[in-house]
Amino acid sequence: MNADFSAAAASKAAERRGGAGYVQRAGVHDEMVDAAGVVRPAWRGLVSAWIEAGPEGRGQIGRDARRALEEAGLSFNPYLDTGPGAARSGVAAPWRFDHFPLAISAEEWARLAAGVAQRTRMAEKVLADIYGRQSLFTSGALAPAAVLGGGGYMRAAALWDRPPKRWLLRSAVDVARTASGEWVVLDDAFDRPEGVGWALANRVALGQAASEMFVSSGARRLARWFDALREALERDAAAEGRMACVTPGPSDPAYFSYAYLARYLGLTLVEPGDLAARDGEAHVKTLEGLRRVDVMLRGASSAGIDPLYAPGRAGHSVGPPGLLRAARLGRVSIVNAIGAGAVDGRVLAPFSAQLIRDLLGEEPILAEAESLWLGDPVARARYLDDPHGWRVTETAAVSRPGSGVEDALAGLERPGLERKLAREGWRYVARAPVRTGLAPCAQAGGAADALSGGELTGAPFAMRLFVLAGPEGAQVMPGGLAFSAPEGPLDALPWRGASKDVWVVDAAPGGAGLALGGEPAATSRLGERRRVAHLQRTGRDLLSRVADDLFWLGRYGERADLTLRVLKIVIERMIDAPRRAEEPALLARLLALRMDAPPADAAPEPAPDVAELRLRIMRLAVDPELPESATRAVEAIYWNANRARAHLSRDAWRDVGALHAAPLWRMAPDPARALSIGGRIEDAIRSLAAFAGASHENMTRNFAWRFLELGRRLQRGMHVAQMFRALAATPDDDEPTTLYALLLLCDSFFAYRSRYLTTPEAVPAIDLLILDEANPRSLAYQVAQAEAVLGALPRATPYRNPEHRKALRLLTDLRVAEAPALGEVDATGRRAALLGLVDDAEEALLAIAELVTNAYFAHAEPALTEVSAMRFEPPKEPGA
Amino acid sequence: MIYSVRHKTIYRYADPVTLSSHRLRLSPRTTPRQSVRRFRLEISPASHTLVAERDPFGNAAHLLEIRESHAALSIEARSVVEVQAEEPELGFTPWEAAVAAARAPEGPNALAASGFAFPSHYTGADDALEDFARESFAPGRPVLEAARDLTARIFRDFAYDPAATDAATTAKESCAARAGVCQDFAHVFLAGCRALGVPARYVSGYLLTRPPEGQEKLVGADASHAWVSVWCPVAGWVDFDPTNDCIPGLEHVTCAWGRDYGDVGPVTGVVLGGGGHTLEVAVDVSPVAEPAIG
Repeated sequence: MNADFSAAAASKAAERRGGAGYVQRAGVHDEMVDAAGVVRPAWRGLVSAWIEAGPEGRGQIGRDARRALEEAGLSFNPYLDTGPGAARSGVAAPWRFDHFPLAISAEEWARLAAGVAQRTRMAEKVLADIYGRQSLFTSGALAPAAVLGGGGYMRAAALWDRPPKRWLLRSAVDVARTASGEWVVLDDAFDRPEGVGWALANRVALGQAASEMFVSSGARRLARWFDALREALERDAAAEGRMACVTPGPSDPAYFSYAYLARYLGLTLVEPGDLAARDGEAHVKTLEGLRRVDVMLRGASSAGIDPLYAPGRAGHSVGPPGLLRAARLGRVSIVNAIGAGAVDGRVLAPFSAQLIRDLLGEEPILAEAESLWLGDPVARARYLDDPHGWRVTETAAVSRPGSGVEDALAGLERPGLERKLAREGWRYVARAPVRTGLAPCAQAGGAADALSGGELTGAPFAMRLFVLAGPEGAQVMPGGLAFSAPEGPLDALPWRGASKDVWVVDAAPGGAGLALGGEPAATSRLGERRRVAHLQRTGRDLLSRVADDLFWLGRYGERADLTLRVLKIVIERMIDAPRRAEEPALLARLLALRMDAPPADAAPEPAPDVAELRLRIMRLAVDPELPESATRAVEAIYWNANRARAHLSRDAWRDVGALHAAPLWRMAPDPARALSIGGRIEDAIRSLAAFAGASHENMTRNFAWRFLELGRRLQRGMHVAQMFRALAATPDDDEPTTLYALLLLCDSFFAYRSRYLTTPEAVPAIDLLILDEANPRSLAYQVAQAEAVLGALPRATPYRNPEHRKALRLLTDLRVAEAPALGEVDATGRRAALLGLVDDAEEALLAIAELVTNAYFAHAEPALTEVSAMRFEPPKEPGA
Repeated sequence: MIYSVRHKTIYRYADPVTLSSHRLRLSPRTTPRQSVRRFRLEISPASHTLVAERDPFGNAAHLLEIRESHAALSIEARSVVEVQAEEPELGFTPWEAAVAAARAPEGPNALAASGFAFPSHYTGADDALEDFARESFAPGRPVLEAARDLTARIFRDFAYDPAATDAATTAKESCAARAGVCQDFAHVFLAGCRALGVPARYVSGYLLTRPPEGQEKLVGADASHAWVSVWCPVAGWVDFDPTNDCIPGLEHVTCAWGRDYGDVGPVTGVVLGGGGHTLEVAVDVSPVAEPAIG
């Protein structure tokens, strides 16, 4: 197998197996194949395994890896990253993944890693200086304008009595390979060195899907680096201290990466509203009150980390007021330190070589990608010679997922351009497109559904490397997050391309032996510490916000369920009995259960025709503009499940993912297809039922479960009440048909028939669906379950909480009610007693939901309002 | 001259506020021409925490936090300050020298100045604003003389009109409108200087006002005030007041300085709840005949 590694042989072998040849480009560095056309040694194990797998096997690797990523919930920002339809319906943009990794030899890696490590060691010293004595400004090593004018410098972080012990616990450096084979630095990301979670998720997915390839390639594992990261974080934590990871929330494009990392490291994932700072300490808000945090992994920008220090932007703040003081007092270790973004992007580029010599006494290992800092008059003149040969960005800006590639000065022409740059050129950097080398890609261009056999093509690429400042010096993660550029030259990390795993290959492959199957768990003493911490958990330290998310997850689950059942019944009846005269009116009434129902006293609506019914079906199913539509409910389920994910079982999450990924939600509301979606509706109902089952079976009966259950029961109870008011309170001409529909909606028709063996009648239906506590679909059952949960929630006094009292009262009302009395029709043709009961029930359930919200979730609201004593007021005219 | 300064701020909220956090910059600072004899804060509700800190500009700041439900917040700062007259020499240092010194600072003074040579949130400039400033900053003109001229031109060309601007107005906007209040004039001045690279800072404080002849001075009718300070490599920082076309002297009490209003707002913060709020501010600056007992 190893005899001949010329590209010709490799491609010949590939051809034999149905793949296609790999084409080099003359004069351009290629990662896999050397100038003589021979596969480089580091790639040989990998390429052998790739060829060995055959087209079928290669396709399978791609599918398996992608499925693993999907199940992990990997996406770009679901709410910002867009295709036209995606923005509206909130469908997540898929994470593009190329299942053919990028291999780097151990020797090459050693040099590259030394280069980025050197860079972060230099940056650490620079940050300590510019927030302290600023001797680099007076020595001329660093232009003040590049830092102070750059936008990332946080004045509030300067001159602390106790400066952060370390500015950069972790860093990210973006590098590209030039066509001539040299590594160059594209950007530094210190403020938010994001992407570690994505790199890990890619590795876990590919490690599972391509374990043969991984083993035979001899690639290094990542687990030890993550252990070291956790160890480094725990050094700052007290014995029982809590470590949190703060992100701006699921709307941030990097949310997934941090959520994944937090899960892996066992950090509590928090959002701005979960945090509070009191008396110089940082806390998270839990059901039991505030719990101290002593280490905070910061996944949010430094700017606005404390609204007290960001006047005018309190609405965008990502931390609680007072957090900066807690950091300044050293009572919370924020990682990376606040203000680390001062030298992000290209700020260091013009100065790095000299800074490395001055501060470290070493020769720089890595070169900079070509760029012009426009604060320098000479560079400015060069840029103005040919402004179109460059792309201008803010000096300290770093590309993020979803960020564009536009030119910051686009549209400006001379002389305006020249004037602006003379005035504030230091704010900008002009980047030259890097003519890059190529790396083989299984999926060039990155179309997410291109799963074809495994043809390899060369594509431009760049990658992000991650550095940890460990006790023994900088440790570079032996891997990374690579992207192949969708097209053309690049001047920053091309997030829009397909991501690739990076394999660092040791000379002697196969040393590690074991299949990856997910990175091995930590075996260090840290693992011990975490297990102990886990045992101490009562579950009462659940974040208030997560309790809120779970409560709404339960509620939206029920909403989706009812909407889907309404659709299912309406569609079935339209297909089965299209000619019956009373049908359209009844079907309209059923749909009205979930669409804005006309007021009760309004004149009866004329029965809609079939075309109108079809339109309503499609709108209720997939119209994202309609708040009650199934697609909106499913979106809400996904959102809440995502935020509460740490508390859901793997199966439950998988069911939510399957529900959300169903193609039904991407259909246009085309009435012509209304009767053909029945099967998909059934699939969705099944996914929901699977989710309900998985969460019921697999969650311990802790507080997380209680809030999910409570939301579910309250919502279902409200639904039963609403259905009876709409369908049974005023008997119509064909009551058996209406009651039949009601029984179907409540999934109780078979229970009814097994008991009564008659066509549906009102009194038995009322007994079964309102009063029978043994029927899990009845109103009484929902109230009984809710009452039990409410009784188990924490309370401040020896007496029952108000919400619990309300539930008990309602339960008693239901227990003393009698079905025949409720079934009586009065002179006005209405069942007044039934109406009174369901109205009271719905009101009570709504009130309970509100009381629960106020008692347990209210303080999780981040609704801070900014106030200021306004501007300097003009002196009033005396006597005015 | 010795002054007693009282600065009272009252918020009244429509709904109860359950948590409020504020940063106060109400304490006058000690400067070469000013010494602070006494400073006291009185805050209601009584159940609050107050922590003093020094900000990176050297101003005294206080962090105030109230965790019990309250419908109103009252903050009263009382201080006694001694102010000395100073007749700055405008000198002959050309403004380009100040620019060059701040761009490549050599000593601690130039280093401190360099932080004030760049636009901040309120003090970005466009071509029009730069042009406006350049009329005063002819090539080679002494920096302080140019600053004095810019002070006079803002006073002359800009209408004093509280209705023209609000707390969020930027220098570009008030320059285009040629109108505003002291805060806006200071921002325009700073944006002009910084567009050229001249270090200049925002100064907050108080101004003694005198009632017209024969009238009683009204209690609370004084005001917090804002002006600017310009850096000269030789003379150091020199204050200018574009609202009153003067060099601040005995009647200006300095509180704090920073890059713009955002760094030195007297009371800024966030509250939880509250609905709408109303704000009442009263300032009194009165000369003290005898040195007050500390």
